[in-house]
Amino acid sequence: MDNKKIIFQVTKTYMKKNRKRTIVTFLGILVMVMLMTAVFVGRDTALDYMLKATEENVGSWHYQVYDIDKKQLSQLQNLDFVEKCEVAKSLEYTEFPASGDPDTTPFLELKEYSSDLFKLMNIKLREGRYPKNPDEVIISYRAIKDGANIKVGDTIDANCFERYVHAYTDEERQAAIDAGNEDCHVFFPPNYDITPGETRKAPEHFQYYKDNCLIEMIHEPTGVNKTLKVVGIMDEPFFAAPGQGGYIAIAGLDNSVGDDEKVNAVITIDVTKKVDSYGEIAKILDTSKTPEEREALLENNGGYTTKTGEKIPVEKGRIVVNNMILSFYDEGQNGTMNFIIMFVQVFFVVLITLASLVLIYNVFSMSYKERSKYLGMLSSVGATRRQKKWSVYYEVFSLLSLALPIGIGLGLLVVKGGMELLCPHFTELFRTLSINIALDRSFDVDYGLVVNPINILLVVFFSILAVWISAWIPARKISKVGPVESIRGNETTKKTRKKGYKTYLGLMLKGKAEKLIGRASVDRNRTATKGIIRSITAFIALTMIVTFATGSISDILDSSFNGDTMNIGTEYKDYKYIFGGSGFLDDYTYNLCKEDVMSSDEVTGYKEWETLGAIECVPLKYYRDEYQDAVKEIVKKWFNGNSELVQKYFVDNGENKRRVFAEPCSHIVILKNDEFEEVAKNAGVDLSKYDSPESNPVLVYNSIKITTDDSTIFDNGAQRPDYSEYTFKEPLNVKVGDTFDLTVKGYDDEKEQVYDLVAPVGFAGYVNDSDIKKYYTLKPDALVIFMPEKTRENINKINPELGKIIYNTYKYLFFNVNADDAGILSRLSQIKDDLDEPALWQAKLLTDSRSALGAFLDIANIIAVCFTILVAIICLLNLYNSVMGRSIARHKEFAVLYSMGMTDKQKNKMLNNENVRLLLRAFIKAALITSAFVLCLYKLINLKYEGVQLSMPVWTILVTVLVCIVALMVFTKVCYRQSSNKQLIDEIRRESV
Amino acid sequence: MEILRCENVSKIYGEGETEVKALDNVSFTVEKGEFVSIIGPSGSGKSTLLHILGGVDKPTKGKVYIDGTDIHSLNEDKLAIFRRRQIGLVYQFYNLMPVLNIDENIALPHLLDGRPLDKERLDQVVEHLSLTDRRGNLPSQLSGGQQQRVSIGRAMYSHPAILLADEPTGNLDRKTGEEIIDLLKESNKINKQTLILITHDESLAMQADRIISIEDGRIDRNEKVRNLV
Repeated sequence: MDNKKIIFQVTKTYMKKNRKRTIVTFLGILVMVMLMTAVFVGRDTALDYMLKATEENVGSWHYQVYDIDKKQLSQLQNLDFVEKCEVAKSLEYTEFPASGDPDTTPFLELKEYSSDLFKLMNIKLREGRYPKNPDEVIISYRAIKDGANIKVGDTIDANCFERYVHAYTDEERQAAIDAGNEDCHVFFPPNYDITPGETRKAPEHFQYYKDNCLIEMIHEPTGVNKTLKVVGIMDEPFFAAPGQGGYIAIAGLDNSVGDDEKVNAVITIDVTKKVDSYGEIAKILDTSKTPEEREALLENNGGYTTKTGEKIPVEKGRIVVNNMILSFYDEGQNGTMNFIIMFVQVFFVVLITLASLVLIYNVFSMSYKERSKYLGMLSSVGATRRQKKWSVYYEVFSLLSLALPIGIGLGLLVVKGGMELLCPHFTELFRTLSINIALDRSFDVDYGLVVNPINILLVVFFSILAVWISAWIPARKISKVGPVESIRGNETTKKTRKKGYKTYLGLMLKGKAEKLIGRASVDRNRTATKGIIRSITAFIALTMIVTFATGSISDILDSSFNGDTMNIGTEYKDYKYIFGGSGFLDDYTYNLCKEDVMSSDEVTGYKEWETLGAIECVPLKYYRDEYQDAVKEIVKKWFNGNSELVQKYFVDNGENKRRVFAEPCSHIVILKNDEFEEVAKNAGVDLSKYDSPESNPVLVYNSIKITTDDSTIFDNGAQRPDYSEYTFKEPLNVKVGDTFDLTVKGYDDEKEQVYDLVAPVGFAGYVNDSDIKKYYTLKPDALVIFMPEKTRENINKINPELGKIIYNTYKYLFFNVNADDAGILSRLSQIKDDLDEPALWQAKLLTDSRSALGAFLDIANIIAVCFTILVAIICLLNLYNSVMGRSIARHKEFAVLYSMGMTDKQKNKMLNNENVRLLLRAFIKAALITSAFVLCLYKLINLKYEGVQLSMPVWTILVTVLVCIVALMVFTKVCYRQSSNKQLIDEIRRESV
Repeated sequence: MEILRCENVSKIYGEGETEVKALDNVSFTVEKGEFVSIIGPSGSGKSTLLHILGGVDKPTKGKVYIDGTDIHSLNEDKLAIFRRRQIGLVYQFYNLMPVLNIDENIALPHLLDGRPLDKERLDQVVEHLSLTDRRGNLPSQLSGGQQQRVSIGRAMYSHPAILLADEPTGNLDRKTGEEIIDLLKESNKINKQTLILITHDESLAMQADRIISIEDGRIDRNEKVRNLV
């Protein structure tokens, strides 16, 4: 048997002898491998699931390019990064006599798709089949749901037309009124401007309007007339808009494109080719523009700047990017998702390595004394340094070789089990996405375990690396132990202290033996307690760091994707139904139904929630200097520091051009008079001095966060900067009791001038979250002003014109009924609002519905919590190992104490005393490490997301500290139980018999 | 006056084929202030006997009376209290608390009894043991002889009735060993403490008042030294 084999044999025997320690070390390594596997495989599996979920919601296409000719289509198809280039044509609209709801949806919105496009656009069939040619069509299930008299096999005569909007001039309007046309509101989508007298093509998915006194709808035949055979019924596509005037119908398409024909292309790209795909597509579109067109476009919207700094003019909406999908490949225009995924992966690998490192290092440090004896003996028979080093490596790598296959297997099971457990929850999250609720779409995505061999290799690599790093220092230390020192027991290589220790005279004079020993054990033998302190420190620090990091991710996502700024307060949480839920119900119907609810015996409780949609400005001069500076800073960022453009932005009033940042908007929230008084009372505001009618008291929410993403500056030279945010407390520079102005822009028709409508209000004070929590949950990106009804009425009196502007009040009636089949529910469910949407909602649809990013955020949080728990397990194993190691090393010490007459009670007291001191030391260390890390992380995050407010995980800190205390106490109890008196005599006997 | 009575004490380790009889029906008495040496070859059972006498180990059979109290009939806590008040133990390998300095080690049994430190007494003991200039040192910072002196100081600090010393010079050179034995004898003579010394050094044993010789767990001889001389 050669020397190496002897070393391995002896190490093996040692491992068997110290079975418990070996098992704990093995478990630590096993959990490490398992977690590494979970990180790598879990990442791919979760991403794959989220990608599928996103595709389910918005399709799997990457770009949609509108209005291209045959040549441009061919150029797009020939781009080397383009994988698929499908063609779509819009046939515009056709009358749909079979409509079950001709008053609101009398048309079909007709499109033609090439065969593979149905899949890319996630068009799901409910029955029938996909169309194979331009004469076959599938129509939306929504038409069937609305009672359309159509089924698979029927035919539709399509006489296609384009829809145009003509906005009436005053004369035309008067004529329309005289002709008996109805007065109504017309809702145009954002960025669709039309001036009186102008005729423009209707916006996409535009609502149907009967003859009215504001606009005229004009139908212009396209010349396409054909008979279409219905071959299938599909789910409402994701791009459909609630209330649109036509049901979506999609026919097949042969790929032929006429020379003068304009089509749309839907593209997927090869994401592995890291090219500026948007820029390349924009370049193709650019070829058909004249220099004048180019200049005009650049003037109006700034164009797209390529990575090389080249500016390419692109019409708004000409290239549509599927950012949600491309974000998964680091190709989207918002890099947050990818940044976070990378960050999370690196973070967890480092974290797991650190936790394992501490565990393995501790095991070897603790058993150093014992090991040095047998290794010393081995070196006396000729073992070299290298061979001694190998004994350590042998131990860890033999454990690792066993842990690798088991750990990888368990890791896969953890991912599978985790996905099995979490998938129903994830599905529920996606099911409640607002888009699914609005379109009545089903959501059904299953996960698949994604096991990439490269990931398994990475697990093996990182596990080996972690184990090697962990064992390297102990191996080096142990290899230096000479035969004589180790056999004699003078194994320590550190220089011993020559100076004595100060006697704890105070404790001795008080006769506090337990405290004396406890203190001395911790203070004078730092090497022995290092392991425990390190374990607790690692536990707290790693848990805190994970919590902080995941919290930061939540905060970043929350901040940079702007969640709801205003939501219902606690008063409304327990109601099951909402009436007027969409916010577009006329007052008359609403009040009639409200009466019905209030008088119904079936209603067990109700509460009205009213919010005002009006947005008015509070001039910048009323804001604190810091706020004004922040606004300037944001504008500066938008203009990339170009001071000339910044100055122009602040000075230029322009015609009807709102300077979004320089004229901050505010939300006006109307409270009933008694509610206003209650909120004021909560905030400690004295309203007695606002009794006079002209005092117009208002309260202001005390916090506001403004970000670079709040609005878009369309001026020439402006470009969206990296995300930055600024948070302010008490944002106004107005003193309590002073007045400030609410202003709205009015237009003088005669003078053809814009002027300010002003209403002075009295600033009664600030309110905070808890003052208002009963009625609202706020996270505002603009000033929120609470106004009592009486102030609103008074403003109407002062300035009737301004009063007219404050009209858009959303009223919601929350209520509960005594039975699910209550008659009132059936009555209210018949009511539809201005958008033809039901006015009765289940409250949970309002409270549960979320954005896709909100759902991702929830998923990320769940995964982070699971990981935190698993990392905490490694740390707890480590702590157990350290406590056990120390208890074993102290057997003799306890035997002596026992022989000196120490009782069990005294022993426990002493151990508790020690634990308190150990915990305190560990807490201080953990606080320092965590603070340093958090500071670094904060700085790092700030480089990309400036000013993001990161929250302090107070509850996690408390729970972690509590878990630490309990774990240390329990482990001490368990490990030192073996040191009970009877067994200890063997320790004394061992040396004295 | 009798301070210790050992009646038919037996101690058996293991069972069945692995059974080892460490002590077999051992009976003897010790007078107050007497100096008794227990001698015997390695594995004869002398250390087991000492541990049983000190209340650290329990006999399988038989009784041990100290000052009229059957010490093994006491519960764990009472036995511990009895031990710290009545017994002083000195081991071959000193068995000092590694994290306590000289002062703290010496006063430990006294402090464990919940009594405040008698500073004067501590100074007296430390001075007597010639350890004044090393008081703050931990055991690891002391030589073997110094450690054993601390161990003796600890045993005599609270005036226990009986000092039990298990091969106290076994780990020391001859000169230091002699100094240690002198200290123990001094404590025996001046403080009138009963001293039971375990040794396999016949010349040391001869300095006692009485020698009890043990072989294979049985008392072989129990005689006054002057009779032997």
